[in-house]
Amino acid sequence: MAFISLPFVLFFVMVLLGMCVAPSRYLRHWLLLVASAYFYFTWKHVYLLVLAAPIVIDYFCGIRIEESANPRARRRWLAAGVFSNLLLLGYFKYANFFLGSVAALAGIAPRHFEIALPLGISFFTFKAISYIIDIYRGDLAACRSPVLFATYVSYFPDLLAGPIIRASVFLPQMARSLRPAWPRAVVGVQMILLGLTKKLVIADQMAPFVNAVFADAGAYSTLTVWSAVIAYSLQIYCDFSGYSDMAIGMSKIIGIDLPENFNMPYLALSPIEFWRRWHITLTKWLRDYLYFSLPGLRESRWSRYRNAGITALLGGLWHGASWTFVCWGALHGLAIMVNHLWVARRLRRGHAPSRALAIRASCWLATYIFICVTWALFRSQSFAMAATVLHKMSGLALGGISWFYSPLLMVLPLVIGGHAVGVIAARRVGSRPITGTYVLLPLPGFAGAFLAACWLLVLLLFGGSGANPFIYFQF
Amino acid sequence: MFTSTLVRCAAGILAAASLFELGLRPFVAGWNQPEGPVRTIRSYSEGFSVAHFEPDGLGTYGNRLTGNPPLAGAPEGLIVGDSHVIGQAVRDEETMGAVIERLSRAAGRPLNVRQYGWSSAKAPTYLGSAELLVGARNPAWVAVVLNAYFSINALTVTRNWRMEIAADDSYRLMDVRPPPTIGRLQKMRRQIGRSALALALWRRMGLIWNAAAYDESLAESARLEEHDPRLVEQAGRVPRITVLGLKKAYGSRLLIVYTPGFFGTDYDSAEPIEQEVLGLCIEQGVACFSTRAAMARERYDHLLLSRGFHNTAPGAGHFNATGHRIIGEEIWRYLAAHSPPAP
Repeated sequence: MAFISLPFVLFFVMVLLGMCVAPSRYLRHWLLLVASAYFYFTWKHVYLLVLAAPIVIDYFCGIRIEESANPRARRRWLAAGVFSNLLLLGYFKYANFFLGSVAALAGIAPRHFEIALPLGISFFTFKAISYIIDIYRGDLAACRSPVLFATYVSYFPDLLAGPIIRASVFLPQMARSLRPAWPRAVVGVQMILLGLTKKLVIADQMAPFVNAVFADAGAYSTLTVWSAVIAYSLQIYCDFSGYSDMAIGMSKIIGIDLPENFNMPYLALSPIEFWRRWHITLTKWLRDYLYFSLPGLRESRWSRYRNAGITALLGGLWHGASWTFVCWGALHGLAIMVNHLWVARRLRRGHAPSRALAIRASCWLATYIFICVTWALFRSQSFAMAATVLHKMSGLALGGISWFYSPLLMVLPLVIGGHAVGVIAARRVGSRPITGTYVLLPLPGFAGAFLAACWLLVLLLFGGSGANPFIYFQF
Repeated sequence: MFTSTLVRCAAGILAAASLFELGLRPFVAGWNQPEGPVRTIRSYSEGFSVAHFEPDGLGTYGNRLTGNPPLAGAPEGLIVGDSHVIGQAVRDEETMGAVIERLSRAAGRPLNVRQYGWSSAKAPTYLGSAELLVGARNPAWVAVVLNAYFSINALTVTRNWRMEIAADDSYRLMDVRPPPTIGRLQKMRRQIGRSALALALWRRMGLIWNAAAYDESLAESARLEEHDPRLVEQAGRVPRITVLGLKKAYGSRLLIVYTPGFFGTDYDSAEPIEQEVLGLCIEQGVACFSTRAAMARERYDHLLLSRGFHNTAPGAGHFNATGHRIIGEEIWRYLAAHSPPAP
């Protein structure tokens, strides 16, 4: 059941109706669980078992960790839980990648398992892992209700591509009445509309141009390839953050607040800042459960930088089973390490971060160019393709077809305007991003109706058909 | 309080609709509006296009105008084809017919070109319309623009005309056009044509639904190809029937122009049906050529793609001004080489 489709709209409306009429909170929990299971079931029936595996294993592991007084037993239960999740992820996502890599190294013909990647496996396994680690660390009490825990892991709005919500944030909210309410619905609907606009008006409009240029980058001019990479930077941001917005909006209507996943990442002035603004829930997950778990954190600053690099490298691998993703993660890891070194060096010399506009603009440009270069690697399906794209971007390969893609110029004002609104809103409410605050229209009244109607018309007249799947579904 | 809020909201929605109505007018105009001897279609799906037609009952919209003044008493040439000949996304003076007219007139040979295209048309439409076209215009030549998508589609297409082929190579044309009476839907479309906003919304929904329908029809064709051996056998004979049928329908005036399906940047695709059509033409003594070499030359020597517009992916969609120019130039090159010199 595609997210942007009539069946999904009907499904969501049915869920809301059910939430409204269900007489007790307990029944509403059941309804959410059944709806989530049905939602996943519609993608591929058999993978419901894959979703059920971490639910069953981590439910019991969580309870055993909490109940065990012996630290070694606790560690064993934790290891069992984490290992089972990683095994699931490793088999479905990385088995063919490692087999292929080993075969390539050994110079033998690769063998492949016939495995289709279960949707959202990277997301729900991470949710399950964070749950048992939190219990082990004593940050969370084990969930005794299998219904609540199963709902947490399989919760349909964020099941396929996040945001990765922690059990410590999700489970307490399940104690609310969970009845759809008008004020939350107003914000939720606007978040859904914002997500749809990002996806249909921007991401899906960029996709044909990006696909065409990346398919044969060597045939195009340097300027055209740069345009395609910039278009891709907009596509991937609007595609992924559009999904997050829709998930947050839907969840808000249901009655559960999902964490913010993006905070205008292309305004970042450094790679470190970029990762504080991009896929925030994954960055925090990697920081809390990987970076802090790596050895040597308190030994020296070099160990910290090394750990940051390793975390970024594994973050790259998390995105996809391909060496281009590993390389993408490694480049970001290297940039983060250099960034940390640079900041530490300046601090040692007593330099405060510069506030001069020219310096900040240079930092922004350098960061954005770096991100675009790494996106070229991220988007390429092979190193050969990436090499062609990067060669063209470097300007060393002259000539090629020049293609002016007008939708790129048309969406730029939209993106810039959206960021301007975001910056103004962030100044008003402080640095803390508040879900949906900046999209609240002044409803009701002339201005509200005017803006809402304009928004809908833009969506209807200039949006794609919604046929392009979300990019992050493949991860 | 509630009523005044409601009124303010309604005024806001009306203001937004008015803004879009005015803003869209330069980019959206329908076939039905305004009524008159020249109809204009504006669209923004492939470039920002303005196309003019002379409605005369032939083709989907009539004769696509060339932007050149017609010359009294000059011989006429006809270009017949599908939506590529309608050329809705290129300007009048960029159409293949306009190029031929200019080249011909510059060479001292007065010529008027009329262009008739049918949306999604296949060879049966060109056969079914032949008598009417030749009878109405008595052209000096008729260029039929073909592409690779006419074998199985000629038997299954649900618009215009389709054909059924018998075992002895005789064929039966079936007119599957909707009846000419104005139905409720057409009346509604006519009314919708008055508003740029309504028309744009109508087209958008049509585009989305058409895209879905197109995918379904492809799947249906694939299914038929897989499961209907009779149809597959018939489809294999469509190129032969097409060449024979067109020869019979248009006689010595016929010129078949094959346009390869170059999409994207790869201009080396092999199209077996192209070789089959060209071979059949030689066998049957029918004037025929392919624009393959000219398009590839333009692609590799001058880095110009024959398809695509500034708001589409490179090389996607219909022929652009370059594609029309190449086809026009190639037709003219053929005509110049195969007709008596100008007096």
